[in-house]
Amino acid sequence: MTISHYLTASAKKYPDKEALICGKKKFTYRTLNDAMMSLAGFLVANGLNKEDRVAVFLDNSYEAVVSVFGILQAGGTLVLIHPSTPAERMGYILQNCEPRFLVAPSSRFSQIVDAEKVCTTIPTHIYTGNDDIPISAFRFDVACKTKPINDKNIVSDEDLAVIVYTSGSTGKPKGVMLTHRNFDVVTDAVSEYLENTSDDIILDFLPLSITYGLLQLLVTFRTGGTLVLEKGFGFPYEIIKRIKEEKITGFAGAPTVYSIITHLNLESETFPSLRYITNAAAAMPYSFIPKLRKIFPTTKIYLMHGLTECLRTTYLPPEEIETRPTSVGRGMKYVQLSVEDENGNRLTSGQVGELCVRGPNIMRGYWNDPDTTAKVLRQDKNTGEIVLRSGDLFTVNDEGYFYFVSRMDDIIKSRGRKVSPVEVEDVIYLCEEVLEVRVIGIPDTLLGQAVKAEIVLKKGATITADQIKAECKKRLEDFQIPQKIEFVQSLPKTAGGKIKRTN
Amino acid sequence: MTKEEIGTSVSKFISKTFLFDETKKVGENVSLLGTGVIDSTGVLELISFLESTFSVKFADNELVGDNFDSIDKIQNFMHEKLSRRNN
Repeated sequence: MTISHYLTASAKKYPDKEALICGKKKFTYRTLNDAMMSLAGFLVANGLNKEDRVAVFLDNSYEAVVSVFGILQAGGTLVLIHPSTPAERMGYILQNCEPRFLVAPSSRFSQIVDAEKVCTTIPTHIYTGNDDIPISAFRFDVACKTKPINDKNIVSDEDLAVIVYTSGSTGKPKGVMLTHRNFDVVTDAVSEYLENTSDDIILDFLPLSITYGLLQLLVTFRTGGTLVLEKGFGFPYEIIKRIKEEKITGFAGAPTVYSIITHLNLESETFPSLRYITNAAAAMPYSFIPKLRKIFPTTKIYLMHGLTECLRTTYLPPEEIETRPTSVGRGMKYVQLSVEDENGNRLTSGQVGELCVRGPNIMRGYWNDPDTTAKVLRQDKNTGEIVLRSGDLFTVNDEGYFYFVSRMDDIIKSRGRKVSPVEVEDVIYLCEEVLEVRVIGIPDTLLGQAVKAEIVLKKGATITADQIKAECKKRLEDFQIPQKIEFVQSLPKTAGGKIKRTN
Repeated sequence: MTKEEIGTSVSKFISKTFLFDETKKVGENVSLLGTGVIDSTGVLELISFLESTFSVKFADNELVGDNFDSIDKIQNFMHEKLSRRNN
């Protein structure tokens, strides 16, 4: 089933049911379906061809939801860009995937112009909001009133649905290519183990620009439930209030979110509607579980593992959390998992190796990057099947339960996002005063890992930590900017003169 | 303290802490969360700055976007809260 079919099917079954709640505004499945069909009609009428990219630079909103489904219904490929992405990084993404259209708020016009300075071809702009826009651009609300696309289904399961840009160890963002089928098998498996139905009211405060946030929307619409979409977890008590007001039945979080929740004063609160909470993006610290149990005594807690390249791999059945609190569970439906050495030999119980994934959830590859794709997608030496090398170190026990050990490379996971040390180092090295820099992750109860930069300055040079952070701010997203900066006399090096990642 | 003085102090803190540059300004009506100027941990930093600078404590039900999601909203809310205290 293609992704936009989730909305069409639910609109047929539950036309007048509330599908989406954004703040005080509520939208039925019928309203969203009509907007989707019109936006798709607009895109096709204005020259969108199958698998043409359409970049969406919006925060969590009605417009973002309509864009997701409208673009996919038109046969386009979605490129979701997080709203805090700075111009330079955005410019790289736009130049890399060459979108035909860009949907963005009119209030961000000057940043978009900045980002597009590096682009060879400029996409057609579609703006939300009321600010003035150039004559060559279109307004989103007008596009959503265009003649709808005809019902003939032009999209197939194997078509490219979404490109998600993620930090890579090479430093530049990589575009993970995911098909309709990738999402379809994952939303099917996830909705089955979470037991989602049309009675569910799911809260989503994770950005739609990351797959964990996007999956909340897709699973909810697939099962005909209601999605309460928030712009973030910035005001935790407001989120708590929303859970109670809207009678939320499930939400997804990362350890940074659960860390905040366990520090709130919630002793007098009860959450009778809340059926489940899920954790992914980083391993849940064991110490959080009894605290969450106390706050949500009747709520199921699901620990899960996934990576952008295959969306989701495992989940731990909630009834096993007390007996196996450090496990992320077993492989979910459709997915075959193994722990293998670098030559593709399967390792036995307790041995540490790389988690390898086989199944219909595996990405098509990295956009315009066959070399990196070949390193990550390999052929099984016996069966010829495609195997995704996850880059995560794991062990598996005799009963098939998986235990996360660490990332194989040095990617730092901070605030549930991936930080490539090389990418941050590259920016810090732009400061003339810096001689050497090493960026590492250090344990942090709130962030998972905090980003720390250790810097050796050139002789006689002076620069402050704030000036370095300001330089980073120009070129990096917030979650990539080091929280800690230490000036050191020297850094440890290998015999070949390479700075070591560990002391 | 006037509303404008509160606004200037908050604006300076946001520029220094989240933009790492005091000369850069965030628009007074811009949603701090929606545009990614601050995230959930940033909100905690902002709240703790306001509590220590203005010697106030916030009740749980005050910690909502309507009070803190833009410089405008913060200065209005803080001005009202400080006026209530001083009367």
